[in-house]
Amino acid sequence: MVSAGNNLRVVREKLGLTMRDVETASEAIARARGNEEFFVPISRLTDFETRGVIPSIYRLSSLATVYRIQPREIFSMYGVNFDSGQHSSEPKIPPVVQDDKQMVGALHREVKQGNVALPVVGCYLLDLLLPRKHRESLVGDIEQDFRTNILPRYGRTAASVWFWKQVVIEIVPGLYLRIAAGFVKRLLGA
Amino acid sequence: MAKGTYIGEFEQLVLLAVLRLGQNAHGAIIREEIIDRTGRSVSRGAVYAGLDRLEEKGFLKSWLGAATAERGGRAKRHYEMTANGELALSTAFHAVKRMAQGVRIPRLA
Repeated sequence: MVSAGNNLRVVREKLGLTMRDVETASEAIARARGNEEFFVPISRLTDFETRGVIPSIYRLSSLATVYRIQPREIFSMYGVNFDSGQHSSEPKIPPVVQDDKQMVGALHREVKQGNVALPVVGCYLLDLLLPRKHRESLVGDIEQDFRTNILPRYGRTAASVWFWKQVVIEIVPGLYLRIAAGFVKRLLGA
Repeated sequence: MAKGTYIGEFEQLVLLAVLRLGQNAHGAIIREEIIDRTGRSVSRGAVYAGLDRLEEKGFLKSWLGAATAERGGRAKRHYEMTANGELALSTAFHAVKRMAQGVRIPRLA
């Protein structure tokens, strides 16, 4: 899928668009359609172009609009050819091709990811220990990364490990500051 | 510059990121922008703490956007620079520029 991503990059560069341009244009599309699924942030575009991540149908639609090509052209980059009635342009490849397996797998993962909940204890710790003002935004950022980036790419177990790492990264400095502040208060009080 | 209006190096980076991103500026993408452009490893908490400080100083204003399913029903907080923020950033930038004037900084391209 990396070669398909590379093709997407070539199309973008031929048009003289930066990743930021694509992000901005897709945001306008998402706003016009009232659906954030159409938004393609730079981080996701990088994933599509360099890491073999397959775009969702919404993002694929946005990319087709921004690049002024038919969605079927992007599908064909990923080996899905609607015109021939087959899912691959290579005639000698068996009907169930590896690319299709990967795509179906990715689609299944995208469907399943909606049902995967973040670890409850981790969420509780974040709610308990993060400052109230940016708690919602910060946990939302972690959850968005978890669902759109980590879970589809690495699966449930690795995503849980990643989530716990984020919990530790976010709460340890705050805990340390609280303990240090308590220690200083005690010193000054003594 | 009065003490309350002083901005540190990290705060300057946060303000510059907000300025670069314009209407798109929110915590996650501000963090990505800083990491992409400076190569520094920055935690989400550090970015949000910096954004809070800058908002308290009146250099940024924020508002909550719409909640989305992929964020677990949580809203994004969007940020925009105020006129005071522009002034503070410009003052800090010019202070560095004046200090660097006539000085040869090794390895500066």
